[in-house]
Amino acid sequence: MSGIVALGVSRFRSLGIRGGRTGNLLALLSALWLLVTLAALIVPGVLAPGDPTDLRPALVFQPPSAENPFGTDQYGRSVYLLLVHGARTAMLVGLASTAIAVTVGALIGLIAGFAGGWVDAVIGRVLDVLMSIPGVLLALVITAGAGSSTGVLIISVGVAFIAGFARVMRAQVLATRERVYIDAARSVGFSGPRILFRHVLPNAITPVIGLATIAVGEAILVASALSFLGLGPRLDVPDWGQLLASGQPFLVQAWWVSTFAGVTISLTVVAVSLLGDWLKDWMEK
Amino acid sequence: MTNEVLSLNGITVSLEANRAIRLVEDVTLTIERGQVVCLVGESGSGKSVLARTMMGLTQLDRGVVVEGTVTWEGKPLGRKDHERLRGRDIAMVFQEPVGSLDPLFTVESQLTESLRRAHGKIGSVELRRRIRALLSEVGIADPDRVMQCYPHQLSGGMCQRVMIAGALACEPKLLVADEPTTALDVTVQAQILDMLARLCTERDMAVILVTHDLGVAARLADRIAVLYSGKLVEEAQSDTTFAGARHPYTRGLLECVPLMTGPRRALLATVEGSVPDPADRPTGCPFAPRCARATAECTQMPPMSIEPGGRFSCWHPILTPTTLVGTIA
Repeated sequence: MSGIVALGVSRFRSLGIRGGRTGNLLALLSALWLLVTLAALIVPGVLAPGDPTDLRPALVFQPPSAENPFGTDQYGRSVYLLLVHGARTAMLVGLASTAIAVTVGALIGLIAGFAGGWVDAVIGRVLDVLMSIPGVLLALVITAGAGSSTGVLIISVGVAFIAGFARVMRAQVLATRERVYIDAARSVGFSGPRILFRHVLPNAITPVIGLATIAVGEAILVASALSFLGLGPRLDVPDWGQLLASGQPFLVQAWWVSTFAGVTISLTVVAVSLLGDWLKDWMEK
Repeated sequence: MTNEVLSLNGITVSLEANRAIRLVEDVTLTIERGQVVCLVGESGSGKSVLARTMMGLTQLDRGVVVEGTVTWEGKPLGRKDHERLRGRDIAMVFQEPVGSLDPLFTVESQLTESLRRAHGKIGSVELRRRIRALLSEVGIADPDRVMQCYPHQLSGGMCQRVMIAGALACEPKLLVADEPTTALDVTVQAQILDMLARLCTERDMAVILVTHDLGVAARLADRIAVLYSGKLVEEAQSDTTFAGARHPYTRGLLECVPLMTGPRRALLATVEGSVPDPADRPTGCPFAPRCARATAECTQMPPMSIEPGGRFSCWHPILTPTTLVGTIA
């Protein structure tokens, strides 16, 4: 699943519709979708009044109707309610895990790039090992070891993304520290740490921020994949990946459960990616 | 010498990976108070490395080894001593004016950094007054507008003025200027050089001016030090150099300079060949392979010969005066 969405996103990019009018339109549509998601996150009750975890045996596998816009699942829960209320978990995991990855990754990259020598060599090899394991697998291992809850999900997805950020940051720091203004800052008499945080960090961080906006989408995807595999939050917390998994055995009788869950995940990930890309281009202008 | 500001004693800079590769070899040089010393040489002769060594910056680089000592007013400098002097008694101006300002900060905030570093806490009103004064001093007509600008909004010449203002913020006793005008066009170059000359006299500030242009050196220098392939080959008072440089390489450089007045030469002379790769330097005098006067003796490194006006390192010095007719700049 994650492969397909990733492919879709890279197709979008390779079609060359990032810049120009089409790019702006797509960014606008993405922003609108994310606004809806954000509303679902902040005030789910307004968009979808009712209790999403309410089990209604009489209403099992109802097709989409005015009352249940996206139908109901095998417990009679409204798919629409579950999706709206599940936005909180998805966005929380996406944002929080990316925040962990960026903070820790950027700090590691900063130290490796600025210290150099054996420090850089040791950090570099550890990152190589981390990079050699696919993110989903790494997160899977951590979740499997630490048990499943939203907190563990956030940390495991975050850890899986650290290496990527650390490498980009390290490369940026190496490029920045050779700039003349770093020499100039030294010639004014400033010491290492001050130059590191005032001049190297702010100049090196821009591409990392760009990468982070795209990574939020990927984090949502990895988190959904993990909870699809049963390693997500507890069953009474509405979650997109979980819903996708629970509908999967009944795809023939009740197509709507997995389909709406899958479409929601895909749209959100694509929207975050496109908007992130657009932001990155905009920042680099 | 009581007037001595900074001096280099037997400075050798080599690569850590291969100590036989020397970027600068055994350079001894003294700068006195209020003096303008020009470091002249071709690309790759080690001028910039030497300038950065005076600032203590080469010493911080990875992968190079610095031997010899740098002294300040007679006292040898350790790494921490050097850091303390930077931004207080010595300041530097770099070759790329735009690149030497941090693109993320306005002129005001960069000058604030320099001023605070040199003079400690200053109130904001006083700070703005001082920034305005510094910018006016380097010939910026509208300091209030320039203060609010980011480096990319300014031209190369403006950025260089700002850099010089930053360097002057600490009222240094020594300013190291590494090809400060190379990236600028000719009219701006002349303005900047005149300004440096003025500041030097007004503030009794010593200046190390790195340049590959003897015309620039002629304008400002009290003394001229000629570097070739990492070695100091000749050092003398400016007029001595222009009247009768002893080293064939210095002569060669002088003949390359177009004259402003006097008879027109059909073609400018050139020094054939190029500076040897530091990894593949000949033994003895590094200039020998390009030198018309070279003999078997030149495979031995010539010692420094000291004369009243200066010193040179050559077995076969040219003893006649230069044939330059006219003025250089």
